[in-house]
Amino acid sequence: MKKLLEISLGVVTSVGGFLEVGSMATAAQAGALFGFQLIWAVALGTICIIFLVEMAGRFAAVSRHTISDGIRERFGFNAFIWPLLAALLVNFLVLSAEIGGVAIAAELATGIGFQWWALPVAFFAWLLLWKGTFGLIEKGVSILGLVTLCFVVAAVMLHPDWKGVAAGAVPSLPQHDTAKYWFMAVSILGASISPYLFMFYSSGAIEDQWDKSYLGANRAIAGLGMTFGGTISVGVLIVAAVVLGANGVTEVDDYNQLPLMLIPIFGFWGFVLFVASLAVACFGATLEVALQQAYLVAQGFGWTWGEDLKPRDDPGFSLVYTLSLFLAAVPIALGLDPLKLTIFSMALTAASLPLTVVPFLILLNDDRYVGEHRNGVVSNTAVIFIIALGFVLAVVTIPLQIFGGT
Amino acid sequence: MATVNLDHLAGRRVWSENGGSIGYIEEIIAEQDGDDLVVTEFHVGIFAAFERLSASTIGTALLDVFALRRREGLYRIPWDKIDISEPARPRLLCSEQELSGFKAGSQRRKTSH
Amino acid sequence: MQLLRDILDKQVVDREQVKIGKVDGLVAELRQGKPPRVVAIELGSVALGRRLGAAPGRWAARLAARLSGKRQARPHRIAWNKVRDIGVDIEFDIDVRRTKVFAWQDWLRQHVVGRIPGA
Repeated sequence: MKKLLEISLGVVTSVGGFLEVGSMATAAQAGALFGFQLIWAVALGTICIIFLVEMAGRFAAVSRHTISDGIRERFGFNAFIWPLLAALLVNFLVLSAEIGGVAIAAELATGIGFQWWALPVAFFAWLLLWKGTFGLIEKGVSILGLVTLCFVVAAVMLHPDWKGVAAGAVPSLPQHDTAKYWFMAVSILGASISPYLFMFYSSGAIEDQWDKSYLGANRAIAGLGMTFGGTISVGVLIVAAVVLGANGVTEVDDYNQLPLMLIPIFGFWGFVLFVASLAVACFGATLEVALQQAYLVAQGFGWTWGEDLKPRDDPGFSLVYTLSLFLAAVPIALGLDPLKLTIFSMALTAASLPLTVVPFLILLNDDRYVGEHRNGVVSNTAVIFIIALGFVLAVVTIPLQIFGGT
Repeated sequence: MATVNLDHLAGRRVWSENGGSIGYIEEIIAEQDGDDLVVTEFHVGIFAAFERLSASTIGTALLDVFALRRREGLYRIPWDKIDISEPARPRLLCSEQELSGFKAGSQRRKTSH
Repeated sequence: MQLLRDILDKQVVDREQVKIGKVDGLVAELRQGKPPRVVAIELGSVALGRRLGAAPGRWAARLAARLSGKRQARPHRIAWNKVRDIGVDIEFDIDVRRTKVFAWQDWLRQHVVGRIPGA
């Protein structure tokens, strides 16, 4: 039971990983334009990420190594260099977008332009990582992340056509804007199945010192944690469908439109809740991606690492997240539109999926690492399916962006 | 002491006496000889990083599906038949006829864990 | 034993189970008429740089030399006869604090990280 309280790792991974500026923006756009029709994409993304997160956690708990460790150790440094560079680049763009998300929330709250918030946000995130421990960040973001439940509450209070919602959970063909529909589906999948999500989870499992006794809890935490994020995303979609779409607002290209979603239900507090949700989700993501950059480099090269250590005890690790945060703040400080950056970074994330998921197939079946806890038929099938999905996403993402993107 | 970095040999092409390539170094096998760990043979095959992948059953199953794993193409060459003093260009020290005697054959290799 | 699969790139720990790094290089002695003998593992940026190519190896060596104040930097080596256990990790019977493997971290601590408040 006590182990189940570690659900906070699942929730924080979900809040920062699943629910962030990309997934919120795509869910809102999908709901506005297509009603409930794209709920299946969120559901599919959630199921895929549950499998990957469970595997990442199992790998860490049994072998006491992270997935990044595993990739370097199992495939060799020369092979590792490519996923490393790809991941560093994609993470950089995502980190930039997330800092932008917090900056937008700050702009919505104060009226001061988002560019001015980029560096302060990066500094505040840095301060938390520098002085805080993993447990503090994990539990803090999890508790604050509960504010995002307002979308679920709002969705229920709107009394949507629940039959329509259930129908949306099954894939269907669009009646209009076909290219845009598939682009949205790809974007939702790309936003849900982010590599930094499961990589962070496996490092987090080591930070929390999981061992084999956590395997059952891991399954529950992966399932419940990711379902939490998925449910919130569906909530955003439903609210956008009922509030925006039904009133003719089908294009969500200006972030000033987003807070409008919750105002009809909560009045002024709707605005506050939206801004708070956006800020917490994106700030959680900022902390996670920055940490993931440091985990990736430190684990790949074999440096000392750990968020619980004082920066003086793992200087290389600390400097990576410091540099990552401040460099990623620069594009936003220079005025780059965070929403546009988000869409671009999600496409790139989708394209990089095969590189990061293929190792799961080898690592989770290697009995020197996972022993008798290797993948069964179900998990292996899921990985192969996700790899195939990843290749499809990688191929169609660019053409779809040209034909169907905003 | 003349030393060489074994890590530089990983995946390198092995050249025969007449200048042709016979494959890539996939693995380096070593055994205890008293207090010393000595290199006993080199596994040379057609793909550079094969051995590292084939240690897991899913890896071999995958490779079999795509018919990429041709075990008859693997040579197990004793340490004295390859010159590794220049790791960037390992050279075969025996003739091609002798080489065919080192083929692994179609027997399934026992992977040691 | 399969050296590339089981030794190279694996996590190295010292006798206190402190993570030292990964096996970045593996050194063998070439002997006349006798099989090559594994003598040491290598760790660090110089060893890694050389695996990528001759030029990256030189840059890594130059950077490491500047940090340690020497004219030339060599990769860190741990003698193979100090190996204690080979499993998922490779354990050596040494105390990392008595080696120079973490010298670059000490340098960072002194000149960069240590200067930032709160470290």
